[in-house]
Amino acid sequence: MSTRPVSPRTRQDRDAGLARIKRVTRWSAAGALAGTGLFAGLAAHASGSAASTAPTKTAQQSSAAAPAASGSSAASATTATNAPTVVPSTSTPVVTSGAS
Amino acid sequence: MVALVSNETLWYTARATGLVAVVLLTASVTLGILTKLRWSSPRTPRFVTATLHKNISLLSVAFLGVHILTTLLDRASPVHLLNAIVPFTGSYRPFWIGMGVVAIDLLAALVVTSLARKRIGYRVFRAVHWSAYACWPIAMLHGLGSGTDAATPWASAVYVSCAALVGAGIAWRFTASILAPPTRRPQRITVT
Repeated sequence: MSTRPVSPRTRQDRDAGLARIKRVTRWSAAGALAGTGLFAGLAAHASGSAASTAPTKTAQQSSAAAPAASGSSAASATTATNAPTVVPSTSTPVVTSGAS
Repeated sequence: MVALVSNETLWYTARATGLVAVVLLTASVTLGILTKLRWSSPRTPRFVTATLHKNISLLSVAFLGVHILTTLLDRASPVHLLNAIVPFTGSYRPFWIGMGVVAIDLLAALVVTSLARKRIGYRVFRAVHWSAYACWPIAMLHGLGSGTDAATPWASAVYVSCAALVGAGIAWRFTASILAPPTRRPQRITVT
């Protein structure tokens, strides 16, 4: 990696550069989609493990402490304490809402 | 839409797209630093780096849009449309969610000024673009503060990798500007 000047660019070099942009952009989009699937799978897996109980417990407390601003938020606060289907019934309820 | 997709799917998608948006934002910031440093290689001329910076930025905005949309569509989520536009207005983790909203607003300003760069002039564009350096850490703080998966090893690895990459880029950027000789760079020969 250096900051040396680029050699004289020909039309062929420009076309190669444009093709490179297209290729990298497509691979980035594909990688991002694959990453979304991977992270979603890991998140689903993490929801069933003890690793996610610490932050979600705080979230649950926040949701419970927050006053319901509207009807929909009241419903949200109620459903927020429900555990996802993957969580064992014996574990601490895990929040199913919020932002990541 | 909500009826077709379960709340769990929306919730996991929101979490995943949030993390992917941070990764893409990191890539965008790094490419922006490379563009600013006028870095190039025989296979990667400067216009390639600059265009990739733009494309990856738009990709990160797209994933951020999905992140916001899935969060809003999730009926179990206590985040509402106003909370997603105006910072610190929500009742659910107002500070950390508010940080995310600030990052969104900054990113929106960046995108708009980038698209209208020729109209608003380079000076204004550059001034607004400096906020990109604030947008990235704010987005990271939002993820670390409100992210359900932030404590998991895999999410921590993602956040640490992103921080290391941008940290190295910023260090390189400022080291290069300090150590750079005051002489002019060699002129590039362009073929029209």
